[in-house]
Amino acid sequence: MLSRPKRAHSSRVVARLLQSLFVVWAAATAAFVLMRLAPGDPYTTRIDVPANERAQWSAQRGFDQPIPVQYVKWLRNLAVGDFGQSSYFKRPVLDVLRDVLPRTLLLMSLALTASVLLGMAIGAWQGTRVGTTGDSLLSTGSLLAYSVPEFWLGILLVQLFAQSLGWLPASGMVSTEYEYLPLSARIVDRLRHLVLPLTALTLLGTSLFARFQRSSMRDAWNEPFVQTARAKGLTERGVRWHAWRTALVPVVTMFGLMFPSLLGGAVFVESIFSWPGMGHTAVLAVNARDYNLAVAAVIVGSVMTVSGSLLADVLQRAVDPRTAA
Amino acid sequence: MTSPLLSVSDLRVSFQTDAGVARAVDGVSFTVSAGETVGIVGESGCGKTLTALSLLRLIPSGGKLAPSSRVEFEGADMLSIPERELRAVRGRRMAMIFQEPMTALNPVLTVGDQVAEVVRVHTKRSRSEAWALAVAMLARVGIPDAAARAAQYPHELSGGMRQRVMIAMALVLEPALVIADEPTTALDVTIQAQILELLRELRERIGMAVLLITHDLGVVAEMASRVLVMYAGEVVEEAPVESLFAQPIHPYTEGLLAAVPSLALASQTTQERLRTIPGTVPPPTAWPSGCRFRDRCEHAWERCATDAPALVQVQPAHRVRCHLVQEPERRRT
Ligand SMILES: Nc1ncnc2c1ncn2[C@@H]1O[C@H](COP(=O)(O)OP(=O)(O)OP(=O)(O)O)[C@@H](O)[C@H]1O
Ligand SMILES: [Mg+2]
Repeated sequence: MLSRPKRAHSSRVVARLLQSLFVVWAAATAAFVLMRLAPGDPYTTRIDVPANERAQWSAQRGFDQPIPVQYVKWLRNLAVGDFGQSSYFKRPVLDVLRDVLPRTLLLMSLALTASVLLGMAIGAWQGTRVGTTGDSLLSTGSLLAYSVPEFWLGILLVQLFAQSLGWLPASGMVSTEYEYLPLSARIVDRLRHLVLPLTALTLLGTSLFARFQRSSMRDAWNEPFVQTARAKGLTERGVRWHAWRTALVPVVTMFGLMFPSLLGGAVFVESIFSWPGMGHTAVLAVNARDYNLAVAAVIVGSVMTVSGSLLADVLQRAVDPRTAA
Repeated sequence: MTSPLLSVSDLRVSFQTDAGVARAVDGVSFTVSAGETVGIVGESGCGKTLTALSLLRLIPSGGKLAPSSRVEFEGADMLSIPERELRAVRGRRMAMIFQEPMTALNPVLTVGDQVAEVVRVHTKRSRSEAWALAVAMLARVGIPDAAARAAQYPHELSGGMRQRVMIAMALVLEPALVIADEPTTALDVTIQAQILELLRELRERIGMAVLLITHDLGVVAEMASRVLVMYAGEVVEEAPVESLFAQPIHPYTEGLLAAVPSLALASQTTQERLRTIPGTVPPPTAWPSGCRFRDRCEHAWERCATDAPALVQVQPAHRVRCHLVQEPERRRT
């Protein structure tokens, strides 16, 4: 029993990685084809330039060639780590990513951490008090936060806290006068810009986690081993820990599946708050038919999604001995 | 005479359900002396588990204890002592072995941790001392290679091994009373015998009292010295094992005895009528008026429908709740 079959384990890991790679490739290919099938090309929006000149630009970049030809060329470049040039930013795509990705990761990691902690605390509290007034209020609250579209929530926050009350900036990462501020004021300025987009994303994430944690905690709370724990003389806290420990398993599984929906939320939230991150940039890229950047954004998104599910897998094995075979 | 270890009187637990008030345990009284083994038998739903849980004040949410109920254990009023004192009793002085060893153990904690936890909660022993004690206890309940097994999770053990873990968990601090709620029902027949043997052996060594809950009179015959027969939330007969088997008085007890194959064969009078009791237990929301067993009783007459029989003493240690005690001529043979 104690010596687990190691080979079966590692071959499964390889299979999972290959599967993930396939998912990323498929998403990138779909994005590549769809972008090119969409009307217009990277220079359509440049109405200041005569049409024949635009066509010339397009031809220079090879955008007039058949899609399969373009695809093979693109794939060959990608294989050596060349994502190409961004037509919108007129810089290499990798440089653009290097700028915007950390901004999204900052927003997402803060939102995710806050969502996990808050959501689990709220859900676990509710799960052992199902049917009480407090539980009903919180359930209604999280259902609202969960079902309201992100953009609507974002606009609401902007209207209330930025426009009506004027407490917080409505958009961007820093104020226009940022460069002229002393260090302490810079930090405050950055934090103030973070509040609204973070709140919007965290509300969404917290409601998701709270809903899952509540139902898994409720299920665990009715399991016989909870009674065993009580019969052993544990404090109510100890008993709750027993239940929570098993209720963690489904939440951890959900964690990976929630990644895409948080990512989708980030796209909306970044657009509303003009947060110059990945989501915001992806929207810009698609609208500007910036082929290379848009496809790169899809690759980044799908890599994040599959890493989320890989991470969930690892975490699940860590918290549930029944799956750790 | 010294006061008994456990004394239960007029225990009543009810639930508010959609169908009305369910009086699941309805006036149960009994005592258990130190070192004694008492059996509680009865069909499914008669209130055995609920009675057991009440002793540790572990009534499921929604269950209501009547104010007249009393549970006294080692001088403490279990139903009113503060939570702190109650927790000090649970698992240390009075422990419980549950029926389903799979679901009663936490699936994501090692069995060693689950046994050691009892030690950690009740004593000042360190983590490693508690673990050592847990391993020793697992060995004592007959788990081979206990040190390695302690690091395993419940799903890695067989049903019989899991029940041994439950027993180790209940007995690690050598409680004065252990409640075993159908400890063998979920197990294979051959494993059942092993577990009963183990319980018997540990009972002798630790000198604890056992409250053994079962629907199997055969198990009671092997283990207990005194038996309570429960029906529809009440005790209908209480007697030392020998008298109960030799001279059952309540028709329900007779029916239970006749339903045990080995006992039925051994008994002259019931040899030809190995059978189950006809009918089913009424729902706890609608106990019949008068005697609760009358619908299923072959001897019932008018009085049984109107007049609820009291639990009366027929011999020093034999009590019965049946009108046949006063009117034995009504018994049909
Ligand atoms: N949480 C609850 N809510 C409502 N009714 C309950 C609850 N728990 C138990 N009961 C009722 O109390 C009665 C007695 O239940 P109990 O579990 O004590 O029976 P039992 O004698 O142990 O039966 P079994 O042999 O099936 O274990 C049952 O009729 C059951 O329906
Ligand atoms: Mg039961």
